[in-house]
Amino acid sequence: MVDKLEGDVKRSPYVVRDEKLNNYVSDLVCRLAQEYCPHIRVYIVNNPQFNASMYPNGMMHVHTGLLLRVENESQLAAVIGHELAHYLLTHQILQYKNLKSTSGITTILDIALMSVTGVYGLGSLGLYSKAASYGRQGESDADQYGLDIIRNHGYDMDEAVELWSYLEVEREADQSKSNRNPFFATHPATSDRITTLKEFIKTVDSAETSAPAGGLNEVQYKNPDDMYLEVISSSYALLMREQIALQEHEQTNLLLEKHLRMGLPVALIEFYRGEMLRQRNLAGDRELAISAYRNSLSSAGAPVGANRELAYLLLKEKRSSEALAEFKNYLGKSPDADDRQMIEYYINDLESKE
Amino acid sequence: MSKKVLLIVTLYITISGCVSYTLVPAGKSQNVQGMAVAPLSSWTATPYKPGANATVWTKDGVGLNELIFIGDVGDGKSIFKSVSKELPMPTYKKDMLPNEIVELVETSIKNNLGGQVSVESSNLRPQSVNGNDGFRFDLKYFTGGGLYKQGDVIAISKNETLNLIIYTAAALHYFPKDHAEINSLFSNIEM
Repeated sequence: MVDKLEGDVKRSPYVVRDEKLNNYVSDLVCRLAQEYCPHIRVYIVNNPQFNASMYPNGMMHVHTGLLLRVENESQLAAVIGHELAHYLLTHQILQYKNLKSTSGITTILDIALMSVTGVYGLGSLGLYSKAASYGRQGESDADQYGLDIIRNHGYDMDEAVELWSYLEVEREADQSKSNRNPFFATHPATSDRITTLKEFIKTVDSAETSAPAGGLNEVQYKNPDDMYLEVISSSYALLMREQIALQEHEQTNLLLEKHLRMGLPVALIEFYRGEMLRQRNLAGDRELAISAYRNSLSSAGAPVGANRELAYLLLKEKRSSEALAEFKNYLGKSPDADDRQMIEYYINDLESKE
Repeated sequence: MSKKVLLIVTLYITISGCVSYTLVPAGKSQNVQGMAVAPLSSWTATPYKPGANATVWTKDGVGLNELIFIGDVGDGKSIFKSVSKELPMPTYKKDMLPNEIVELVETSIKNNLGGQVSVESSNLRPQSVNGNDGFRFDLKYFTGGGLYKQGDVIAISKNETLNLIIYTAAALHYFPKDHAEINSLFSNIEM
């Protein structure tokens, strides 16, 4: 049944096909899984919620929302190590048996569908909670086993704590949405998880003083975080599009601040800050959005849409000559734009009033 | 539930359902949500009402094609009713420009479908209707079940209200089948 599901996932329009991103994540999974690598297949799902999941047949889902929130390769390795631990500890098989004893097939399909599209059958929510409560001990075990996996590969275990601490801050920024993300329904409360992880790391640190076995390949992975930043930068527009569409402005703002600290391209971050402020539209946001778009355009690699969105905003603010200049800049950079007729309409209108 | 009760409930649903669907004859002008249109072929008006000022027509069932008329949306109002309190519908503002109205339609369709499907638009272009400012754009998205849908939307601003006709259909066969008629219908709206 899960194999049939995987067939659906392969064809899903919500699976990200970006080759560079897929190669990077699959390569990391392979290094962590070692001899189990041939049994695991990774699918990056275009879903802005923070989540990753592992299925008993070796299918792994990684959400784009996870990639947006992970700060470096150690943090990504921590989450993937956790999912691999589920697989190696055969948690899914135990969970599947439990679900099958209730009304399994529908439920597990609903969970899977949710992973692919974010949509789930309302009728299965009760059963899903049962699966969730069953899974919490398993989740804690997977946390510890996952840390073992990343420690054996030379990653910084403290980064797992950093990631969870950030997620807690983000959740507090928008409490109303926290219960909607299934990841938090099936996993230990974030504060409990951070405490347990810290205790585990402390225990391991005091017991283990020698260098861990099976460290990083220094030639290939000398600067793993640089590689992570490069991959995320090249896919940033794809990753951010659905996050912006969620219209969860406080969370987006926190994410953008984090991305700026990480060193992701300023031109992209400022463009999406402009988008977020324009959509939020609180008092003073339009002026801030105009500044953000201008910051984006003054940095290398600004999206061409920055000129257009800036022009529309200037038009709303009745700054006609500036709007006209930006509409023209947009068409100058993108002469084949599919909205050319609309932009020309505004250019003609503005020119006739000059 | 006894068989008799089940039969009565089934009959009630069937009969009440039939009553709510009405034929929209071809060639006859219809005033729908403040917009007068004359369809070239017959349609079915459904009882489905996704918004306070919305009327839905279909030819082959709403899962395959639907023509949604939304009229007289005032400042602060949404085009669709919210289907979940977790997914509040965005609202129309009278100073919105075309880029924002496109986003309004995209997000409204997305939230109406339960959230995280991705709706994309393209080909934004001006189209006035009876001297009222308007514009048109294309849509595409995959439903949660993986069905690829295409759409064609016309938006008209009149007396600071928003008026929309949204045509969406399965991209395979159904969208191209009726698109010529939709083009004609969108080009002959009277307001």
